[in-house]
Amino acid sequence: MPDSVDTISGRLVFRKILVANRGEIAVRVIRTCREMGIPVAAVYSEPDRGSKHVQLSDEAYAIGPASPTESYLDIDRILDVAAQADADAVHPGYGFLSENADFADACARAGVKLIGPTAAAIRSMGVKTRAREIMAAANVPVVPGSPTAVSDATAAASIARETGYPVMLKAAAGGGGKGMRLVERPEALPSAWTEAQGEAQRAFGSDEVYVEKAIVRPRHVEVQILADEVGTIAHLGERECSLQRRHQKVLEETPSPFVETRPEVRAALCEAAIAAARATGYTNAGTVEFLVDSAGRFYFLEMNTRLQVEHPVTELVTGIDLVREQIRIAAGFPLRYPPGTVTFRGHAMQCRIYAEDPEADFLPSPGRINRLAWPEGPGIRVDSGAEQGWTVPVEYDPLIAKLCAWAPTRDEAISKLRQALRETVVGGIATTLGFFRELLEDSRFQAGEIDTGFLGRGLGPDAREAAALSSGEKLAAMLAAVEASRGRGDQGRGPAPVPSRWKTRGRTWTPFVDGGNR
Amino acid sequence: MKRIELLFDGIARDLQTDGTSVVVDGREAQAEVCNLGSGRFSVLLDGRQHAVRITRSNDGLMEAWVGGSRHLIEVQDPRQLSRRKNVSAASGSGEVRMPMPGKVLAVHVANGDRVEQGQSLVIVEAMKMQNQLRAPRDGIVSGLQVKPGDAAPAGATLAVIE
Repeated sequence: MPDSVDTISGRLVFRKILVANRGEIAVRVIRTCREMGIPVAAVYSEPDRGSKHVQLSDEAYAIGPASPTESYLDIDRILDVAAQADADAVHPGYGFLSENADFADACARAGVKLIGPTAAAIRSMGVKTRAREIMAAANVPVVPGSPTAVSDATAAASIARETGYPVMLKAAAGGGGKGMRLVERPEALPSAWTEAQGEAQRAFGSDEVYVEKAIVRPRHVEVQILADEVGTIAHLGERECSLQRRHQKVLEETPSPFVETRPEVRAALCEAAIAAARATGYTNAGTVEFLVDSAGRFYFLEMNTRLQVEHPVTELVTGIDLVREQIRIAAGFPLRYPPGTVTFRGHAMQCRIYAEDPEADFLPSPGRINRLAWPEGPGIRVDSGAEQGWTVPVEYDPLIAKLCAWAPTRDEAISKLRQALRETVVGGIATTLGFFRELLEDSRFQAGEIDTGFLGRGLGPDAREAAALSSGEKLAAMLAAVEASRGRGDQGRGPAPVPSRWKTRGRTWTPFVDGGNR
Repeated sequence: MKRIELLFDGIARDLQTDGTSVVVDGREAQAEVCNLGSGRFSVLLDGRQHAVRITRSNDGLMEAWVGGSRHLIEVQDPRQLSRRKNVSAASGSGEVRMPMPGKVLAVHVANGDRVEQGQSLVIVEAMKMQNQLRAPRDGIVSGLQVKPGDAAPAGATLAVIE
């Protein structure tokens, strides 16, 4: 019997799942729903009518204009659609409503199952100061700092004196690096305080900011967990996400090159992650993030109560479809992979391909994708919401695709990604493809000597040199450009078009008969 | 041999070709360019094969994809070259332009203010990212036309540093 069918009633675990998201993650979730035989309702804002996630859905509902607050963040509108579509479950993806406890409450009131944790668990982890208290009580190590939001810059300065500089200011309701400021010296604190508060207010509607000791050159290592609704919690290993720009992850991998050689650190991290999940009564898929210093000491950073952007690397080394497990858990099934039964194989790495211009300080570069070619071959996985001819909208996150490679070892995974990048074309807009080409050549990266400040310090000169074009490649590009520009601007159209059959055979044209053979 | 001038990632290059051989930087190579259609090319240079994809950027420039990276190429065309010159001359004159469509969050200066190169003038937000627009050179702010909350299209001149 398929795992999407309840063995007692013989019915599908859910009648229909509403996917309350857009872009690559909506595409990702829809695929698994369809594989499970569960009908899918998609939602879309005005600019997303032609999106890939809409085209993959069984049903699609307009939910408003481009502005997220009037569409993807509109709880009432999303639940109206769930009722209209007769969906009995909602998958929130990541971002948007995925970590919104009010949404979880509203789903419960509407009798729609949220594929994710309970409102209480989201709430306890959503406010970072509260999360810290819970973790400290569960003996999960936390970074020294203010236990709760600080009232003003003066109070922040006195805490900073206790913990010692550098300190990090963080929005209490934050995530994704917004409302965060690193402060190196006391005199820089007042202006950083104002900036962090302002950004927090704009991004999250709350200007609560707290203070933490900044860990010098930490690695970002996180543990994926799965928890069912009957009390079993399993970990699916760690991911290292130390390569970040402006506190946004850029490249993720598993296993962590640091933890891989320190089994005792891995065991302690995974144990702490499970303790963290247990302390919050956590259910469904979640991620516990830690900062790890060079001595292997680790500190709880935050818990993400949703599917992560970087979940594919875990799927590649474990062979587990996390979305399928999320759906099964939400339907009340016990964990299919109880602790100790998960096996790990090889190394997986993911590059986040953004519509950003590496030559212009990674400014977003929205626009039309005139040509699109993704890599192929064994061990390659591409998760994308983009298609050729599609325009990257200005209104949303400029993530175009996640390009992943799996191989038996880290070195081989890097080689695979390098070849995959060579086969990729995203024509029309600037993207971060060229940046990854250089990153993969950086010798310190290749040696796994990374930390969260790695990208901020810039790549080594060896990286740019190794990634530079050969004189032959340059000449070939120029010759092709000269050839393409003959006849002025018709490249992309190719050789003389085949005349339309309407023209050549117009008079003798016979319409096809349905089901006919050609 | 026919001489062709072009810009490769903004750097002027020239090559000479008669269809079967090409001379660049004083070196000659046998070249065969096979147009496979839809912007796909296979180039043989002394027997070495290079796959090239030619696409068009949204601002009308030709993009060449080779070895997994994207390069902007402009083949000699008097009209295009002069247009490019105008653009670069304009940015050298101290114009502060909107790098992408977005919203103005804050304006730190007023017309008539004296600013130094690199000083933050305006904070803009687009695609959920905040960015500082800085003075391209020392000078006096003029022509400042925006206030916080204004939306502006890509390329809009927000101010001029004179």
